[in-house]
Amino acid sequence: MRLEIERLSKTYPNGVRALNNVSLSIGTGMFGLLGPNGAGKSTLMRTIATLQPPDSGSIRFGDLDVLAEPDELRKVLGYLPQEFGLYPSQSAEATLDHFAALKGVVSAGERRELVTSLLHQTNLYEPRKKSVGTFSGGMRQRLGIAIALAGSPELLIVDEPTAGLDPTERHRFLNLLGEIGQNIVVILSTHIVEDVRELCSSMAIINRGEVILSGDPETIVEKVRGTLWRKTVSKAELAACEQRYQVVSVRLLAGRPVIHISSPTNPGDGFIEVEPDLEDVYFQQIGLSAAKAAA
Amino acid sequence: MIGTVYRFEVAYHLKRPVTYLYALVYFLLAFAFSASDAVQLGGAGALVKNNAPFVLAQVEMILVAGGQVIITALVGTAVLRDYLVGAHELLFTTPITRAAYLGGRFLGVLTVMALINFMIPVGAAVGTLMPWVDHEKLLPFRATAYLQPFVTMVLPSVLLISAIFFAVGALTRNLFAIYTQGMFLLVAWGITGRLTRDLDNQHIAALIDPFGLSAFTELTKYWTVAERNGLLVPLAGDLLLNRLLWSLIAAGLFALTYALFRFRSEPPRLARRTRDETGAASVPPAPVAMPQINRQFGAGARLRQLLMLSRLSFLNIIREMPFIAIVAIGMTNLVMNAAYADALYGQTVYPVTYTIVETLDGSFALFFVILITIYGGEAIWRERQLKLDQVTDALPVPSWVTLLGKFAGLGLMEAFLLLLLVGAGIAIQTAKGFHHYEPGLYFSYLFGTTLPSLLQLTALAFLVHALVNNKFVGHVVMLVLYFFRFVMSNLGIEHQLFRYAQPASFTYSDMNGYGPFVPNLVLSIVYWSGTALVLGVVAYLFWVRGTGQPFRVRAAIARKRWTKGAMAVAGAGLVVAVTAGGTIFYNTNVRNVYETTKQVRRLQAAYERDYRKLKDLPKPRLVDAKVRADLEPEHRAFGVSGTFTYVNKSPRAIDTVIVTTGHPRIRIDSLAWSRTVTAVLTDSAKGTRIFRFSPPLAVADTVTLRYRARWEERGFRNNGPGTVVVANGTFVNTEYFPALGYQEGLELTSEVSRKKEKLPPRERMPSINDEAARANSYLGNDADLMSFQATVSTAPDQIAIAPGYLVKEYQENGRRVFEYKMDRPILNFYSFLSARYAVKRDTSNGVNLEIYYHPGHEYDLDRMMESMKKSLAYFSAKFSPYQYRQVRILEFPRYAGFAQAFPNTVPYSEGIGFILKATDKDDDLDMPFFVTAHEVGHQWWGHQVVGANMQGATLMSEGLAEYSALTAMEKRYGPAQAKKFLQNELDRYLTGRANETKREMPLLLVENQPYIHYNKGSLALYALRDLIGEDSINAALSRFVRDKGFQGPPYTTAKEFLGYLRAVTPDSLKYAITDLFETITLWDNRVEEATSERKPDGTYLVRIKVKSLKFRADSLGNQTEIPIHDLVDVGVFGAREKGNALGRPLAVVKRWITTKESTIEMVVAEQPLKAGVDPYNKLIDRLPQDNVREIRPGKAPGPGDGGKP
Repeated sequence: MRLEIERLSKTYPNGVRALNNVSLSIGTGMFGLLGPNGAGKSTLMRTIATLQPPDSGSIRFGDLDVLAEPDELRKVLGYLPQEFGLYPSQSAEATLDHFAALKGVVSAGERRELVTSLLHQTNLYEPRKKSVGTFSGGMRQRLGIAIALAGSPELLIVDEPTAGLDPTERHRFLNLLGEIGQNIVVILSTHIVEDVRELCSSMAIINRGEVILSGDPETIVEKVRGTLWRKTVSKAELAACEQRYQVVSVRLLAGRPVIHISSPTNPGDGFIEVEPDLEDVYFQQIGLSAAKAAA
Repeated sequence: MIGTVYRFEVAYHLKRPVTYLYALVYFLLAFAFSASDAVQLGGAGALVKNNAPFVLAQVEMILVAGGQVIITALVGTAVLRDYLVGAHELLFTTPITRAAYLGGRFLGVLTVMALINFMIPVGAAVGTLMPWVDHEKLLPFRATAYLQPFVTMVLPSVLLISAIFFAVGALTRNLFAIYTQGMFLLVAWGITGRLTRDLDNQHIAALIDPFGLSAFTELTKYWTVAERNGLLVPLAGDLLLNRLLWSLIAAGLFALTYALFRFRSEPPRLARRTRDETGAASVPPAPVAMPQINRQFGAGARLRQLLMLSRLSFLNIIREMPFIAIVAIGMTNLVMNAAYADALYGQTVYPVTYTIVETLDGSFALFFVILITIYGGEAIWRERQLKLDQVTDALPVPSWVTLLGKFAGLGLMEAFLLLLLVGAGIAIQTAKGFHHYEPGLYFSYLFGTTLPSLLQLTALAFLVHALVNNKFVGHVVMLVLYFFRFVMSNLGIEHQLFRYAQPASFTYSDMNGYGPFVPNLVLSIVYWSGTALVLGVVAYLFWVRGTGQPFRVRAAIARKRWTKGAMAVAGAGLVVAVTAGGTIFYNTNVRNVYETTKQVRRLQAAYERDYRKLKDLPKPRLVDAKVRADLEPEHRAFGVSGTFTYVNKSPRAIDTVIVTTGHPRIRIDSLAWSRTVTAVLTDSAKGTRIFRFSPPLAVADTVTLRYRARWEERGFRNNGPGTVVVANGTFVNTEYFPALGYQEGLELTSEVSRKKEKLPPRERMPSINDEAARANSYLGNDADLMSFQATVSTAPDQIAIAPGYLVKEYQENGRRVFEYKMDRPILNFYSFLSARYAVKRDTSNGVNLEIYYHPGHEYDLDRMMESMKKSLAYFSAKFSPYQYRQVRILEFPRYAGFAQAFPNTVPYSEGIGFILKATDKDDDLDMPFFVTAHEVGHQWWGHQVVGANMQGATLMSEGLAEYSALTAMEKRYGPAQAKKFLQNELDRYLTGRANETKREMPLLLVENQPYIHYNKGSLALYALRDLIGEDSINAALSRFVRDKGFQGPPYTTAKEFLGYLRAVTPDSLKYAITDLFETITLWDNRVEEATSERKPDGTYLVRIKVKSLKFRADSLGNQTEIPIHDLVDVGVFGAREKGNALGRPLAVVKRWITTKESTIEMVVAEQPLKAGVDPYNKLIDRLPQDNVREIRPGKAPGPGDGGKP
């Protein structure tokens, strides 16, 4: 089963082009969608999740024309939006039970079994009777994924699920996703590079509504090998460097700026080649697309 | 610092468009009041002008109180705003002080609120300037009339509202609380208003009304027209206390807000809520195998999902605190209403199911509107507010299932509340010791008529919210729609097909059930249900699913959703609505003539314009009527026929005669004269025919008119079906028989309507000096005493009755026929009744007493029977012999609420007499006894003596009947009941004159004004009796009957009647005749101070310092003081005792009071506690409560302390 997105465009009434000719082909496994805030990730996710019709373009899931038959997609969809609430007075168990039924698990016995196993899986079995209103952010997020998973979806969309989670929570959450994501199509949007690096078999970077790079993370990283250079500079030099080079990132190491720059050839001047990682690629690509847009 | 915050706050509001929107709304409301007739507020009337200070004060108060619902967010968000935009953490970490922050914000919103509310007087003032406004409804412009109430009434209310909203906003920081607190306050206000109806709670209610309207009403309730137009309402008494109290409370609230408010992120909590962190422990998730599951999307699954969603939607609503709070307030309100539900005209009735169910339905109606408005919006917005919408919208559940689930949730909530109402109703009945429950009636009423209407409103709320797609605007649109529905009829939209979700109006009657209302009721419910279904489909089409959809996109989605299924449902709704609506239309406009109020008014005006000129045409007079009514209760039809014999009693030959055939829609089968006539004119629309006799009818000559007509109810009219002839409880009167001559009774009486039709002002009655008017009695203008016989046929299981004695009863063609004949002449005043009656019989001194009643209504039969006996005995002994051998009381359905005395026959509505509950407690008036005695009294006052149709006529019918009944009641129950009764009479008289629409008349000249002939009539006659004695007054009445009874023209007058009274009144007391009957006289008696001193012999010397003023009032209530020289009761009272609210009377004597201020000394044997001047309120006094005062023990003031000894 593949999700094929072709030439998807969407412009909001206020003139913002949220999606600009986006095409992606996504197979089973975890697919990471990386981009800064406002890049159009959520718009893309919502569009795939049948919540927002695009201006143009098409989305196919297997043989299914998603835009023409949203109801059919919903039957195989699990969706966890970026920000969501729950009925605060309901318990976790009742919440899951409710959503399982709405996803078509009508038999009460089956539903009980499903709910129990989802609660175990998301480690919410203990507090299952507690009302959702008292849950911490991480617990709510796990309950959210349990809801998304209920009814064995074939397409799972999770929009920035790790934002606001503490490291333990985040870890647990990603493990869970990783396990699920082996047999179905999972789209994970995030602006945290680590999430993608740790989990995804393929990915895309989008910015300003456009896909600027896609592929599997290793290939992508390989692609930029030899174009990234590093140097520790003084604060006084920083401005000059930013003028002269295409600076990808500036970090402080023991109070001194360490800059990474992008250059197809060795810039000399004390720069050392960097063993590229995904984060560098990300910053480089975002920087390039910004430069292109400014030009 | 505080100045900076203040200026910032004011500037902030002045920059926001919504502030101006609020101001505009306030302006327009006030403007609409003074510039149009659609908005009626503040008690303006024919005489009290639209810009009278009294009216303006009231309008300003009502708009301030009502407007808070709209403006609640402005103040409520003054603090919350910072939290909403997340600025609080920045702000609270600046060096600003709490006092400066709260004080500045509060003063800021207060200023803005005051400015917005100032648009009320501005709007009202500008409205009066509009060129189309009728200047006769206005007084000259007077700025203080607008400003004084703004300062005294509006500003304190604004302060209070602001303090409450500010506190709620700052302390709860809950948007829902902020948006709904206005409604809460309004409802709480409504409940306090409810309290004021109980007379004893006047002071408390005046104080606890936060907007001061109750105190205002208390202060002004007896204000006359002149005072309402002329005086600024003073800030005095309870009103001043009220304003001070609530301003203090406002200040206290602000202090409380200050004390509780902290610069913190969390709102203050009473109980700590802890966040649960279990499950955050870092146990790695155990891999669990997912079970194999089976998913279904068929019809069965949809049904299950629908049920789940309904249940969830229902539970989500009823678990909410605001819901519980609204319901709790509603229930409190309801229980309070129900506590008074059995109060009818100040009397207690048995809590039969229909009175309870009507109270339940009526007092909860507003709460249903609130709940549907709020929770319709909440249901639609719930997921979006929880940010759960993206999750639910991506579920494989069709939108129609979601929508229907939410709708059903609200429906369940409504049904649940209705069930609660049934429970409450039964509990109330039980609490009142009444055990005849009618569950069928509860259910058919609440679930058959109320529930459908609630569901229809819910569908409308869904549609509005789906289309508008903004919660707050959605609520506002709903409010506008309700408001529109409310004023629609004033705008001339009267057809029931436009009154969305309103079941056709109906009256349930124990006698006749839902009776003739059923078809219209059912059709209207079906019609609006079909319409609601169509609205529901439209709501579905525009139902928002997903995010970020401009209307263009939603329209496209709507087109996609317009599938065959949707078309089928909408089509079904449309077919149902069109069929039912078409049937309604067929009934209202095809089978019957549809007439708007305006058309009816126009026709009435045309009648007057065309025929009034013939009013003085001499006409032959009816001397014999043989009538027949063939009632068909089964078909809601009847035939009438009769032979009417007329004699020309005028001094000239008569050549032309007008026949008025009453109802224009009656079908006249024959109208034949015994002489040759030419039909000069037939005007069926106005029910008028003119005939010319050839040759003319000579003096003393006789002519006979044979008449036959048929009346059929055809379906129902726009304002419902006719209730004259119904399955059980028919009441047909002379309206369906021909009358000769122009009928002044058919003229337009309201001066407002006359003006619209450009008719000259109308005199209510001819002048007392108009000798020509003495040709006709007050009851009928084409007959004097006449002989009468009647035949009535009806359904075989019913008894039919007409005046006269039963001569024969038999079956004929399957009908039960009764023949009645009167053995002595009667007035032309008769009726026919028929129902499935049970009969209670008795006799008293050879008079047969009969009560024809609905089985089950046995409650008051004994009291009625006793009343008939007692009053017949007293009246026969004191006035004159009873002229008939029988008195019959006949129950009829509560479609009308009166009792009316025909010769030997008294139709009596089931609503006023048969379920009245009189207990034998001291202070409970026995109203069945009283009403019966009043109607028996009419057998003398009306049927023995009848006045000429001129001013003062009703003094001799209603006034004397009321007095006679009062006397009969006093004989039976003692003077305490009479006093209690007179207190009510005084209150009703004073209230009545305050609401006079033309001019108040003295009793002598009363122009059929109920508050004068009933209430002042009994007060005046009782006061006179108190002065001259019972025997004297009875002697006068008996001579009056002897001389004037059974008289023909010229009929007697009130002047002649007063002559009889004057003859028995000593010269020293003749002033009382002038005061009570010939003028409008009021007294203001009060005890300024009362002290007592124990004398050595053990007795007490009481000194009472009295102030006594006496006034004459003109017809508008302008008072002039006149010197007092009156014989007045002065009394001293001791310990409390049963039956004497004032305490045991130690000495009550009549003293002449001749100066404004006087000191009266009395010696009593026991410890005196209270002293009073006119303590029993026999005189008409607008402040009766200050007539009695507690006695201060100690040394009595010497004669030198003012006042004469």
